[in-house]
Amino acid sequence: MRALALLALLVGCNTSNTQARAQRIGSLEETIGGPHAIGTIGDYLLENDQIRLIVSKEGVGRVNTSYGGSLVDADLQRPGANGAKATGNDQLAELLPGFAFTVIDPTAVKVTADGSNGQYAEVTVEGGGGDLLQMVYLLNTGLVFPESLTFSNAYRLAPGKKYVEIRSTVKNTGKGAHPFPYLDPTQLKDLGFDIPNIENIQLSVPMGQLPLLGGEQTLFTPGQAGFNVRFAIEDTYVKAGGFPAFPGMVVDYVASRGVGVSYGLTVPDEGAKNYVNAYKDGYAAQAKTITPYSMLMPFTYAGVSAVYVAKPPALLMPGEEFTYTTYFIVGSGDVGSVLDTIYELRGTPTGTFGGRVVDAQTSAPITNASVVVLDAQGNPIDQLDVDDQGSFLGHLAAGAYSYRVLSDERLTTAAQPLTITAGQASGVFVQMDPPATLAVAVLDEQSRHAPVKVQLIGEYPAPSGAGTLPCQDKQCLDPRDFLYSLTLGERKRPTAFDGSKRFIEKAWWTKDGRLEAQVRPGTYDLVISRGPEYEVTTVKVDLRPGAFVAQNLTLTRAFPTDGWIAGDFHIHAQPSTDSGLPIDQRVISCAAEGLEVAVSTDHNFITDYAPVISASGLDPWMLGLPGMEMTTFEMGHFIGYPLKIDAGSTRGGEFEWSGVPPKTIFDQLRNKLAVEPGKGLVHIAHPRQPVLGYWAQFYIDAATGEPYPPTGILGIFAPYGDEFAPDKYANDFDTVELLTGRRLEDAHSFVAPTPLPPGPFPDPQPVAGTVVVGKDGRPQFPGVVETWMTMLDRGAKPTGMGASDSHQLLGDEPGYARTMLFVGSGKDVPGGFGRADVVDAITHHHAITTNGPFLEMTVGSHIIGDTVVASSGGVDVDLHVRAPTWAAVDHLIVYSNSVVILDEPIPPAQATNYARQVHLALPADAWIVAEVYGSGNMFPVLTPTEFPPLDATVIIKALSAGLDLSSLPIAASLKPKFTHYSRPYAITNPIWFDTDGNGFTPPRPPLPRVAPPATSRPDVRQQFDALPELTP
Amino acid sequence: MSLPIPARLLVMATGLAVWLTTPPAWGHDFPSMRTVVVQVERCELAVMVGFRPATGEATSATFARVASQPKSKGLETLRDVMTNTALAPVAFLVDGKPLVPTSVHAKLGLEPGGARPMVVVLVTYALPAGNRLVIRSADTKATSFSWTDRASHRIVLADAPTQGHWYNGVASMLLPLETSPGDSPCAASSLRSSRSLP
Repeated sequence: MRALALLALLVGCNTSNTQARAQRIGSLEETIGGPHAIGTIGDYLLENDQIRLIVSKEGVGRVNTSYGGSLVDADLQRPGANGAKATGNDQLAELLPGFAFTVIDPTAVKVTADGSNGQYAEVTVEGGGGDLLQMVYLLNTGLVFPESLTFSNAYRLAPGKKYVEIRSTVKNTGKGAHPFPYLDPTQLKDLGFDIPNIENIQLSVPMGQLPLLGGEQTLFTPGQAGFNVRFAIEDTYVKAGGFPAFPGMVVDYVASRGVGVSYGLTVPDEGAKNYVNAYKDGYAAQAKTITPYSMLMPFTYAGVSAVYVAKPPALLMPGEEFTYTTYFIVGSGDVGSVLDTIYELRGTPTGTFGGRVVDAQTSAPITNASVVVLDAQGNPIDQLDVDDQGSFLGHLAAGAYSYRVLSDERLTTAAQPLTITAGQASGVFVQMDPPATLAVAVLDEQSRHAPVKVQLIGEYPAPSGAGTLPCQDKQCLDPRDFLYSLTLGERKRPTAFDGSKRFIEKAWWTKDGRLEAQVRPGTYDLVISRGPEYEVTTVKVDLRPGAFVAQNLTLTRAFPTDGWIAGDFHIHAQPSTDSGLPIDQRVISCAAEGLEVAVSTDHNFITDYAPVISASGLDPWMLGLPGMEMTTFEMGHFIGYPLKIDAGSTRGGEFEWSGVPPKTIFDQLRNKLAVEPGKGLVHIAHPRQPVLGYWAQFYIDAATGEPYPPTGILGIFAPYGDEFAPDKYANDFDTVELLTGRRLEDAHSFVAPTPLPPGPFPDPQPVAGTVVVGKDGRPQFPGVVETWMTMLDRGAKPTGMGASDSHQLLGDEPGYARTMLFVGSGKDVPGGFGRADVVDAITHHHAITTNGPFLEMTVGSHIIGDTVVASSGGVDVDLHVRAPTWAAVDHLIVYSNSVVILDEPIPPAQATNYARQVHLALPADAWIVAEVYGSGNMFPVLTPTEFPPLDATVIIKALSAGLDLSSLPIAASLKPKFTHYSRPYAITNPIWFDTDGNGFTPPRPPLPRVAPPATSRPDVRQQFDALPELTP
Repeated sequence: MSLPIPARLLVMATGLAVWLTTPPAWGHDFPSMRTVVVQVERCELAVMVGFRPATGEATSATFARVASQPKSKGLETLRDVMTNTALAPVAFLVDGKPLVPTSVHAKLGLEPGGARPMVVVLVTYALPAGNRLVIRSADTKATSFSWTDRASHRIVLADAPTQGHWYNGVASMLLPLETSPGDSPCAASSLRSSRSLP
């Protein structure tokens, strides 16, 4: 279709009579609609005959960042979209200007030109400076000092254009000249940056845009990165030329690829304003060609990227302004439609490149092909989608290129040469080798067509070149280099990461055990699974090009789980800005992984899976509960469920998270947003994850369960707002994740390995086999479980949970980890339990955290979560662990009151079915928790963590290149391994023992419900008397 | 963005303090800054006001006024000028009636580096019976308020703004008063404890 549209344009489509307009939105019918549409009444609509955009009103941010006034929705005009909400295709999360790390805290958003005169329409955002991250407040202050500046951002849309011109302005409202950077390095040191060598560096102040392009969009930059933007940026860190040039990747433009809509960013030639050109010596090692349009990408993290384009003058005089311009482009789904507009903006003479892609055996059009254009060095510079006829068409500047064609179920074609001449057309006809066709039908142990996961496991040939597998050091062989190409846009194919050559060619999550799919030819193991309650079923299949292969298979139950249901209470889908997964695929994947409860927890968006579960025919298999992950920018992530859906809200409900203390967040989740006010459950997600975790951001001491003031550089990077005061920390949440996804390394405090790796290490020196501590004596990587157990010791009873935090599918599967909940014997059948049973099981702590093993703990008829009145003579506790063979266990640990009372291996012969009794002496009230581990690789049911997860500290590291940050945990040389295969793990909730019949008395002083306020203010009279006086 | 004083983070506060007290380098422009801590007692308000003039002309003008005085009076004059400037925009009213200071004491200081003078003023007011105590500043931009109750039993705490919090950019703040403050003879007490005006 895009090809046809372009053709129409070429034959002279006249847009001169079109008009742009800007208006305040008065009705939801005027909004855009689409997977990430968030625009609502009171926001501002900017549109012409080509594109539609929405700028959010002032106030707090409604997407991911803290403030309103950002560009929140963008789409093409879609004819016939009268009452457009239902038919739009907005996939943009958010776009906002970044003046280093200052963003606009808007005081006004207004229409500054309505377009009625036939010229451009314009919406302008004005305001003061706000911090994108409080964590970089001091750095921001030192570089920008926003207190004496005002900021504005004008979105200007001309008729007929597929881009909006963004004019970002900073104005000095102070009485003196305002330097950039505001402070010199020695003053930065005085500011509290006690970092070695900081006084000897020269800094710069990059300004640009912060795009959050949305989870459906795949980032692309021309050159070495292609679609491999995240890793390519990280690769440039080692080539950083040093300050004043900030580290990052130099790009000519930024684009994305999505279904039906894509986005792009570029800049005009603004000469000396261009940031990269101003510091080009610093980028000489990585950028072969720095152009007048070069931009800097210092990071892309969790869907948030930075694109810095401008360098302000060294001195901004009082009343003086500095304005830089960026173009935000809306394309039709591929990179090429964005690049076409960039060529138009730059006035570049082009020729056209078009063609058709068909199957070599049948000549049928291939409708999912992607044509990637490479430059003379073999680096991607453009990408074109084909239409439903297999046709494509795009523009290229004159020159010599090559191209490759990709289709997921076929082998990627070899590079073919291509020459483009300005003003002329070049055409190609591409034939791709045929795929094989695989048909599968699976029955469970009751002969039902159950939801299952189907996977094809291949074995790659030994790659050439020296190196080690798996990839855990710099000398390794990386599957990205020989198994697939992220640069070209190929999918990741997870490997076993255990030294074998196994990899997952493809996985399908089916709703009824039936599958017919085209696949890349090869010899594979066909593996069927349905979560930990089933064994895997494996057969070998030989899939030749053009062949059809059918298999009928049966599942085998691994162990019974009477009364227990499996739930995942932390999963994402398309409404989350960082997940592009359609909701129907999400619910099918949950059912296929054997989950019986799925709680939707999209970022700042309340989603209800129930209608989709019903439409997919999955009602007999799974219950959906509406929930949300209230996602603050740096206080942590807070999940609530079951929540009600507000149909009048464009995000399922109205809530506030920016600048508010935890209590306010808890209150909203527990009361205002809950299905039953007062009964919403508050769930703490990944509590120890830096920036994203509640305990990490409040500096919760694992030994006390209470906040402590961070010292040294940690204090410098700590958020400063009143909402982060220790007395604002609230511990009256209901549940906490003990295991999130594959991050088993977060479960327990990091212990130094035996023997220690080669040093040197910063003081205090680590001791092999003991917890690694920092200068303050606290664990440098504190564990979730230790902190939770401290809370149990102090009388708190948050239910420990397992959850996946899954955003995608393959490599990020739902249900690992998961929570097993006891809802009552005989009730774990379709329709046997409901929402109230789930909530009741959680509030009574009848829960097991697991990624595979099923670990039961009982005392007589009492189960996990019960409080048992027992005699002081002690009790016998029965433990029984069962597991599928792919999640066999080998190690059991039992804790009581945080003390290990049993630590023993499990015999290999009993690795899938092990029972034993433990006698617990009870001199006083106590609690008991059991935990099991396995050492084996759960591949392919559960994939490994092959690449270190990116977290926000990467931003700080990138910005601090050249500085000695060795005192930061993130920079420590001794730290947990973040890449590993996934191994079995389970931990129970406690059974509590009351020895005196007066209820459970915790072994340590109770945790205050709210931390005591900071030291009360001293008497002002005493303060005054203590002040020295100036004397002559 | 305001400059909150992060009570929680000693290090951060120290860093800010160091920065705020750093001699202004060329090209840097620091505004005037006034902190007002209102301590409510049973019969009195004890208010501590800290003040620094803006860099540049404001500081120069202050020094110029002092320079016109005899040397022996220099510090005294500077103290008076600074005290008046510190207190001028700040007012306390009970049921609309302004309170009159019963004592004022001031101490002078200089920033490290000596670029700007600083003054800390302790001023007390008798607190009469009433319904509403209003704290007001005519210099909203430069003034930060904080208040604390020292077991006065005079403030309806449940309806009052949070204690110990810094309020920036606020023109006025209302503290609801208990209608029956008790039977202690506050007026006599406050007169006895008052100190002389400078």
